[in-house]
Amino acid sequence: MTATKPEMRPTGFAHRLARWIDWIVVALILAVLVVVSVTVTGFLTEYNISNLLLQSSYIGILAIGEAFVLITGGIDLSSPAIMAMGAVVGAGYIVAHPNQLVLGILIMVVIGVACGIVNGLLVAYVKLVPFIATLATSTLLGGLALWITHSASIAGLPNSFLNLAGSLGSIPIPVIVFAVVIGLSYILLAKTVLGRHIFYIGVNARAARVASISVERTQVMAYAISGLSAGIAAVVLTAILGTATAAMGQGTIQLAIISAAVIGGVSIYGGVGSIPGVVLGTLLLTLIGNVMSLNNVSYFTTYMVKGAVIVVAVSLDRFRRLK
Amino acid sequence: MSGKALLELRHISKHFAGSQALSDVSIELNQGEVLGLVGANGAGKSTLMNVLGGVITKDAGSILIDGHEISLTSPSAADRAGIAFVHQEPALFSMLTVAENMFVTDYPGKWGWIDRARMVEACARHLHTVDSQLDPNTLARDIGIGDSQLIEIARALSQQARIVLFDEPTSSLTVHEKERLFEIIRSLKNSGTGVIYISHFLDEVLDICDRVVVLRNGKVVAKSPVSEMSMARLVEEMLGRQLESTRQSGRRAGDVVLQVESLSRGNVLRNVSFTLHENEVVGLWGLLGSGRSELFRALTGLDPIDRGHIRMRIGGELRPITPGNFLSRAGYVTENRRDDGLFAKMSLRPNVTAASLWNVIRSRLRFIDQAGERHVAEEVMQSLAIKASGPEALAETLSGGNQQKVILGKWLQRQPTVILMDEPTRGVDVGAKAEIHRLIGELADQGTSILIATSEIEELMSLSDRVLVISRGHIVTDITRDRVEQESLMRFAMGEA
Repeated sequence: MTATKPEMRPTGFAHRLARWIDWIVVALILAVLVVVSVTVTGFLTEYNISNLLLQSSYIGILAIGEAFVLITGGIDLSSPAIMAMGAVVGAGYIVAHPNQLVLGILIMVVIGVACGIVNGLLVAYVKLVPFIATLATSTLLGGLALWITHSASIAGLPNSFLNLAGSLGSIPIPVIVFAVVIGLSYILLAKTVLGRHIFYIGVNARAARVASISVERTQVMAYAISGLSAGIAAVVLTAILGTATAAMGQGTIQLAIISAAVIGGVSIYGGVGSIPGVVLGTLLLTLIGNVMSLNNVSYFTTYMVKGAVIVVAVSLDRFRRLK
Repeated sequence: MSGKALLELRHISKHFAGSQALSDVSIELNQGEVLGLVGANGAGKSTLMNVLGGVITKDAGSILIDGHEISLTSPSAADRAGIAFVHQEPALFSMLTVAENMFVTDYPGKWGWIDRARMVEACARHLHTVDSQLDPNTLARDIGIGDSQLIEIARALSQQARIVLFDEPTSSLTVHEKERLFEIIRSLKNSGTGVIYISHFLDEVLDICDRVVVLRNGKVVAKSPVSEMSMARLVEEMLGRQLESTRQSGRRAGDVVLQVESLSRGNVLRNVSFTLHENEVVGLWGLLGSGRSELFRALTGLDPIDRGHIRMRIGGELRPITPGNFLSRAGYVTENRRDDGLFAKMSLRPNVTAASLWNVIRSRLRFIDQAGERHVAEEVMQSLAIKASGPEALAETLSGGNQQKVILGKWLQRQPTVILMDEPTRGVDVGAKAEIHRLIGELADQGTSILIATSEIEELMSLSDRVLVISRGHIVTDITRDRVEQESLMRFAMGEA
């Protein structure tokens, strides 16, 4: 009778690194925090901190939705486009009907969920590769948003809506929304049957199918959750910016949310990840951006650093798989 | 035997996790000799082939060609040593031509440019040596298995291979193609090539080979010229004399719990009908590719069926059930636990509850009761004697036997009427195997009906109350254990009934 085999435990630098990776991220955040708060002037101001948290809020909400999809073993490249789509339609409605604020917000969220469900159906039932399916819907929605707005930004939102970017006490409302999203998504992923199913299909979809878990339904739910998060982010970002444009979905947001999730321990190979991790990853990423802009680091250097961070994050994911 | 042997294997051993695949195997092959290599599934034939092909490395022993020791550390090393393979179903690049496939490791030409004219001409010449009129420009996807094997043989000849191994070459061939293949083997022999011929079909072995070596459980159990061998003795050597060891279970089969009628799927399953009873272990015996795993996949709705009816005992009476719903009242321990059984990157706890999460749901919001789940996992660990540090141990860190118990534990949570098991003790060490056998016996004693597919005759004989033999997708016989004879099993399985 052989007992468990200790020689199976891999050794070597990469493996040792793998075991400590999550703590390394936490330590990095703390180290960066300490260093910048001492050395960088203007970091520890109330204005800058709230700015940092505001930025984290919509990136984090998107990254949390992305995490659900990544854990199933898929990828969602359309969340910024979905966010922009929800934002321009909802904002357009609110500008036209300033007294139907709640309905306008609801439109943003519902558009998010609906687009997510379409992604899910394409992946689960039409069996498209997630990368292609969501790249296609992203392009389609981007074009649609431009067409609807004629490339113009939608301004003239009522103060009642813009107040959503204000503060409750001393805490910005987007940060409160972020906190609520964190709490609910944590419970959903870690405590419920749906969350468990998302992990099962990410770890071994074939075994899940044999155990009569509906892989397809779970996939649709994951993409719907990602869409929902894009809808919520649409509300938050529109309030922060004061306008809605089709350009909201462009630029490096997509890479930012995937790298936030991956830095936070979500595997792009599926099956692994946690909400607290995603939150930490988001904070680290926005922190880096924030510090660079405080130091007047040039636009292209910022890009280079962010690109390097992504390379490091994905490499870390490889190491984690060795664990 | 005169002079040096062409190929000599001395004391080859190979150990895999939990099992000794080859132990102290010594074989020699002479020039111009056809050596038959036979053995039941899992006897070690494939391992030996892979050692010779440089695909896996041996733990101990040496390999000599013309009396000189060689080292086979990679497939290209085997190539250089003059060892070539002809496979059961050669894997060709379907979108490349015959000529491109033949020279895939060694295109004629210079500086990376391929000399097509020379390649086509050389291909035609080599094909001619095996009497093939195949057009070198045909796409590989358009040719049959027989012709694909000819390409492999021609390639071997073009590389001046001195040793050619045939692995089950005839199982997909037509009668005519088989005759042609035998002709080629005889001419290889006459030109001094050494041939190793691996086959389930003992009549062919007795027909084409000069000598035969029998492997059982990784050991050479018989070596003899075919003139001194009979079919009966070959079967006896292959299977061992384990029949006496069958014990009486004392179980009495109860009511019918599963009735399968005319289940068909293409030509993979043909009119499969059988019944299972309460308190019964039924063995499903068949060679690789006979339709064993396919039957399980069809029953459980993983593969679509063309027609057929399944009835299961639900609430005291037999009721029709669709394959899609089959697993709601049954368990299925799959053949390859890493592929579709285990959630390797998860801990033992969610592995055990994966098929029965509804048992540990706490509220209407479908929250998982984590404490309850841990309790279930602890119970399973205890009742199945799973050796692990605790419910949070990562499944992939467990030994094969313990992983298999985790999977069994997962299905037991459903309190299944029927459990299907496909090779449940493959790659599991001897101790864990005995424990799994004991668990299977206990489950049957408690009333569960178990259908177990195995290619190990000892396992079949020690576990089953009844045996179904499947061959070419058809149940050819259904016999109680006391009437099973090993020779008849083999004959049935080879479709000679």
